[in-house]
Amino acid sequence: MREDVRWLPHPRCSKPHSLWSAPDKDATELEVTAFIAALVRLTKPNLVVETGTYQGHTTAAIADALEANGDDGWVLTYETDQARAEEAHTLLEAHAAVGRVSIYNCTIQAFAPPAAVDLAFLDSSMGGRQAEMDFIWSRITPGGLVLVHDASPLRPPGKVRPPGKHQVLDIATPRGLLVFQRPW
Amino acid sequence: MHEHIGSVTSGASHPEAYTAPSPQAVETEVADFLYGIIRLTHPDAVLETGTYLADTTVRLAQAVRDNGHGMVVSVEIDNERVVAARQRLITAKLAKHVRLLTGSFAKVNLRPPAGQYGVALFDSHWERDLEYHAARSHLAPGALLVFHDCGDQHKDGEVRARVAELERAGFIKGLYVPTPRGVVIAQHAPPAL
Repeated sequence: MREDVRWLPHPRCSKPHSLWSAPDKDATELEVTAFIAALVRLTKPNLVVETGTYQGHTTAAIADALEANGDDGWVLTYETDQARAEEAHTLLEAHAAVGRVSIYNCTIQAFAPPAAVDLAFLDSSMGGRQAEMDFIWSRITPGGLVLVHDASPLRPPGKVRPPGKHQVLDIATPRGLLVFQRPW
Repeated sequence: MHEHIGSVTSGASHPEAYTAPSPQAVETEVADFLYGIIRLTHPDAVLETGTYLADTTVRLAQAVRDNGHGMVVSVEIDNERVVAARQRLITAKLAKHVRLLTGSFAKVNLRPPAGQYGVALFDSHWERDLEYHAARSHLAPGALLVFHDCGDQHKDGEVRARVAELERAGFIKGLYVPTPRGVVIAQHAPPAL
């Protein structure tokens, strides 16, 4: 299903109204979900975290990629809305890679990941992303990645920055995607 | 270790988990990542230097096909490889999405069929900086670039050193990912953040 991306698209995105798709207006674009899965395949992380589980579509893609990697990869996903957490749980229960997923109905600050994080995808409430970045950055492994969704420079998550040295890619999707790397 | 993954860069994470279609080809995971970048950013054109046998070219062309627009330009200096690549693309019904150029990246006309390159894979010569400069005037601001063979086993680290020099000079900003052969994922003319 195509979505009309109407709100504050990335200024470098030349065709924001016609080219990207998503399951519904609040879900992550399918292209972003597929990109994250490809990044998991490329970097072979041991531990992935996601904030803003929503219905669990991106979580499932991450779990599939971890399964394809063949290692002991694991994804922790955080959703503060109980109904959405339950919806995601139902979707993921039927998924082949469900054993690689843990869903938490709380903020990431309320239940910290139990080990160093190799890849994080921050996609919770718009106003909460900087606090999540501040919390997770010290837990990211050297060379690890943090992705911030909805990060068009015209939107609040576009202002999110790590509290330490980093490298960054600013990817001009309609909603914007920032990829930060902690130094090696 | 997969039979086609040869030497491995230091610091590679889970090198045994990577695969490649042949000893000289790009890792499957890197090719799939390029597919993801193209689907993510919908570039007008995609550049590849070093077609080899078109393993990665096929993946790039699939992404352009699935986007519904755009074109891949792929450069290979070896004429026999170009012939083999062309046949492979025809067999895969992807030939209309790819313009194959025979010759050195430094001598062929790299002008894209339309627009600018939004994605590029540099995987031809060891001198990645020269490949970049040959294409630079045709790259879109913020274009995403993948420099292959940046692991420290390649020319005693010279490949990566040349890419690092591009970064020091302010042409690009990039991330390093220690796949078995090592890749730098960079952005051309990066926006100030």
